[in-house]
Amino acid sequence: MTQTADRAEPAGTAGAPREYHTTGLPVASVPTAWARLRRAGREHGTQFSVVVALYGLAALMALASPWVLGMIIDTVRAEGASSRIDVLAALIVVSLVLHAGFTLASVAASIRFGETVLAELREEFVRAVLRLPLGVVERAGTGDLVARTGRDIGHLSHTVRFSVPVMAVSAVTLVIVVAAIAVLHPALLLAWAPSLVVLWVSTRWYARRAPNGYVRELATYSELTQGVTDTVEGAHTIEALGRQARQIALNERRVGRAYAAERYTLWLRCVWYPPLEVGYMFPIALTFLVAGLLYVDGSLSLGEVATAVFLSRQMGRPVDQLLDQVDSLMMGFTSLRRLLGVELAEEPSESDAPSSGRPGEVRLEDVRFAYTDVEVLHGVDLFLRPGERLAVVGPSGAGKSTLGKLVAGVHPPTSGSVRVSGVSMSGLAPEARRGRAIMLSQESHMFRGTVVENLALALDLPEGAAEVDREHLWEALAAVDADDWVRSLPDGLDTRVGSGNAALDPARVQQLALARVVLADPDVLVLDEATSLMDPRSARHLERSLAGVLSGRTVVAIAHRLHTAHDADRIAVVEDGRISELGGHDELIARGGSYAALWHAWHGQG
Amino acid sequence: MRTLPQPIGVPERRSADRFLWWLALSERRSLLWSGAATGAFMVCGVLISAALGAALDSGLVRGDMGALLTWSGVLSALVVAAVALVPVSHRADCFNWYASAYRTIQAVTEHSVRMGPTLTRRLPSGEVVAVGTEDIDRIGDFYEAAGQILSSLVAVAAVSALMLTSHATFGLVVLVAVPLIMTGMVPLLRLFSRRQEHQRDRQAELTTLATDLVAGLRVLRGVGGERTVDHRYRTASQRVRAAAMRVGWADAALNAVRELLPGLLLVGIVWYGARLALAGEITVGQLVAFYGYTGTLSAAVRHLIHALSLLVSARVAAGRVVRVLGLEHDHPDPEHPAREPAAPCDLHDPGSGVTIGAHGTTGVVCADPADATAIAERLGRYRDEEGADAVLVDTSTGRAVRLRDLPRARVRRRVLLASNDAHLFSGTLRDELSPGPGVSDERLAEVVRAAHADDVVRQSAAGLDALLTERGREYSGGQQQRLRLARALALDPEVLLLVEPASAVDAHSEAAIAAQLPVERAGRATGLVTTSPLLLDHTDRVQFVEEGRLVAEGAHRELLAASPRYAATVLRAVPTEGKT
Repeated sequence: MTQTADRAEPAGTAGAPREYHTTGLPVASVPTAWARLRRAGREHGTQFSVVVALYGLAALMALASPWVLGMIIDTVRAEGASSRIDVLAALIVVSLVLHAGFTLASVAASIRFGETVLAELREEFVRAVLRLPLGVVERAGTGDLVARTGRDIGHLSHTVRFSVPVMAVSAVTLVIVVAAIAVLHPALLLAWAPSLVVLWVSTRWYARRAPNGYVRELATYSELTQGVTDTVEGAHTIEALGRQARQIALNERRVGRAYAAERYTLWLRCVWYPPLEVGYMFPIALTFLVAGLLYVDGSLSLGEVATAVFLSRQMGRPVDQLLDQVDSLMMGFTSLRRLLGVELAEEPSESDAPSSGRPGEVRLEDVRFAYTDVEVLHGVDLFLRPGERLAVVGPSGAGKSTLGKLVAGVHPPTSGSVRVSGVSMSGLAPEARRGRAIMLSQESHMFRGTVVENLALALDLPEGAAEVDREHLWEALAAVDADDWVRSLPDGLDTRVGSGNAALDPARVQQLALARVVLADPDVLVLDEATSLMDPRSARHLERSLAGVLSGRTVVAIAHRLHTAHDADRIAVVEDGRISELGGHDELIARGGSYAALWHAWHGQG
Repeated sequence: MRTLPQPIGVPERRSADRFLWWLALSERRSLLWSGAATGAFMVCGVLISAALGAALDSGLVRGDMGALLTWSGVLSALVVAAVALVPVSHRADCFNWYASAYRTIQAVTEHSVRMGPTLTRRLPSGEVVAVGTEDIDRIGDFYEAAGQILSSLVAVAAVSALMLTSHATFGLVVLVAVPLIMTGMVPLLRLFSRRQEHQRDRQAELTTLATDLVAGLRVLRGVGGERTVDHRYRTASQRVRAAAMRVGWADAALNAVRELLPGLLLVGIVWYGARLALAGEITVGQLVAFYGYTGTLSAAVRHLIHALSLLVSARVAAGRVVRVLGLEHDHPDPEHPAREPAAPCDLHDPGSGVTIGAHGTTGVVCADPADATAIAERLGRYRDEEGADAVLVDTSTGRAVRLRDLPRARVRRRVLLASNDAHLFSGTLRDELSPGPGVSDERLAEVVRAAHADDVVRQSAAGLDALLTERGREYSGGQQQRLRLARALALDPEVLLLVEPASAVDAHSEAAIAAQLPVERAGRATGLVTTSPLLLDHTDRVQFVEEGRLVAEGAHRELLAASPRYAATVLRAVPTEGKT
């Protein structure tokens, strides 16, 4: 067996698509994960003790049969009465029934316990996901998050539902069996002494290597998930571009990588298992030897020899299961760290800050911004009075969207200050920030659910709030020219949309996204190509009707369509990360600069 | 161990069971091997019991040290044999997991790839992704345990054989009792599986909800709705919890019965054996061996039940796999494909009367955006409409062939409908733009220039080797659009249909694209479905559609002058009047 995963990747065939590795989200440290588990222990301690106690009783009952077997053998050897055998057999039956009863109760209790903890953990995870800063979400991609919501929750479920109870029952059984053997004759425990060393050494060897192996393994499965997501969501494009063979090859390479990671951990287990197996099977032979010697010595009866051997055989299973779960436990623990890791990416934020400016006022002072080490904005100053409509134009990649993101507080500026309504945006909690500024980009998403549910998100009503005011929704839809077609949908506002339901064309998705923002009603609205997928006439009509609804709100509209600029109060031309021109339409045309050139190009006079 | 992945062949997709059987047949050698290895391991256990019995009957009773040492040696030897078998059977079991899970994921992705646009139109994407994340685990788990079915049968056979030879009654009891125990558990297993299926459905809903939530996270974080979504997730999560607890009771009962029934067999054997031993019909050693055998029997029953319950889960998972595999393409290949017309061809849409000429660029302007979508979809064969199917017309012979009468792969090869919902894949820019391996940098630079996307490539120091994350999200909408355009141009199809290819770029770039497109596409057919005056000004001819029909045709400037309604459609977007 080769340690494939440790070796460098074989060089890809020439021209074959290269693989992309995401840097991904953070993973929580080991102490953090332990702290979380301790908290679960504190909160559910009583429930857990009940589970352990029930398992203990079940294990105790399971001891009856080897014990009684010894008594039966001695009865036979002493040629005792057959009625005594009947009684002893009845004793086993009673213990069996009790054992079954305790098993039923303990398994049910442990599932109850496990499901409660599990639901808590996954809900906590989703809550953490919902608190992820926008900037992080945009950078990390959703593949890793999908893997964490799918596979990691799955692993954790397995650990909580299965491994933890099995470990509990094994540990309890072990204690009880050891006690029973000691009662029979303490010397019998000597048979287990060599095993302790073997088990300890081999498990330590394994436990040192395994976690890294499993972390790597999970990462390969994240990648595999990303591949599946790409394949499923891009199936349309794969067919159009004739990339079927390429996509299949790419997925196979991801499978190959997962396999390589699996082979490494398999190799670890294949080294670990034999000593493990020796550790709990050899004592059977040794117990026989020791018990035999004690029998020769006269300390044990023949029946007790049999009892001793079967008891030590009965120890094999819990030891096996206990150690077997080490694997699953490590997987679960790794998954837990990945799930808790999402909480690390949260932003520290103040819920609100005293506002010193007028609502809707935007002030940027010497703002610089760099995504990595390349500066995108080089010192931007801008002041917008409340209710002003600013259009931002300029060539693609000049930094228009970045400027919008800074105004909306998606990213904090690298230097300089961005204040909206007099408050610095970067330190604010999203809820507080959204009241001041919202940015709407070209790309949107329809959630699985009805149109009402999709729109009502923007209201984010607390639990148990009154029904959504439909009149309010219709007003928002009318503001974005969407009321007519929504009315014509099969179930109107209650039509189901989103993945797996009727597909809306992208222009309509944009309209609904705008309606959401109208409902959210922030002081400042940043529209980044928010109508770009609509046909130009409808877009212009929409923007005008929107202007009516948003009067009094400050609007920053990033647009390439010049009618947007034409209709705005002022226009900012962004070029190479700077505002090169700022002023009204007529003013800029008269200036004959960059904007005037754009305008003429649009009119075919360029 | 073989390397994976292997080519998978044609998956069975008629039913979940057939699919599972297909997987089993595909991996039959490895399954048999794992059954044999695990079986041998269990037989070692049986032999240990037999040796123990024989040891008690031997000199040990009289306190013979020699016998004690001999039998200890025999027991040790059996232990060593068992230990040696463990890695062998574990490797085989794990291999079965990998082979079956990977084969399933390959089958699903390969079919997804073949289904193209049909896939997400018919099934929620989250559900298909869940097959790749959860269902493969279930299927893998079953095949990992499948070897145990065989090995348990081997163990039961070995025990019966040994008991039959020492005392016929006992052997018969085992042969009757084991199937009885299994049968006795069937009703519980059914209940368990029914509840489990219910729970799995709830779980799948929860996963779909989470996936959807993650996909829309930008919206949630940007506009709000976290509280609502969180509440929705918690409700679904609690539903899963409730369903899981119902499964829990069935599971607990199954566990209890699994202990109880083999236990009763054990009592029967011990009780009857003890009476026989008392009567001198069997020895004490035999009684002990029988007791030991029952331990192996309960293990065998446990394994069988375990494998069966995994089978139940695997069947549910396979059902979901088959649902994906069972999808048929919405635009099937014709049974008898027509002879392909040779290039150059006109592409004609009888539904509207629009024709994309074999040479030059044709602008298609629709007064109603819905018409534009319909025409583009028919021309690209994304919409079949009886009597209105688009045709390729051989310009030299005039022979017309419906797109639906040609193999779909050929249609896609010749006609590319490039729209703005095209997916950008993760990988390097070079891979994303190259239609195949070995495309020169010069060629890529050419299409990048034509799409006016130089700044996108220049944005990163890595140039064409820069990485594109999921869906190209690090690029702005306009940049993404120009990447899509460059990608389409690089493919260089015979007919290229571009739907609003510059809707998200600035006017400067749009003008540059408009001027370069006809140059880049020289000698090939290009259709531009747009209302942009900049793009239309550079086309060779324009077709104007109102109420679904072609109403006017000519050069852009001619139409502007001749058709007021055309001018209104194209220019109403341009602010020609004063400020309002």
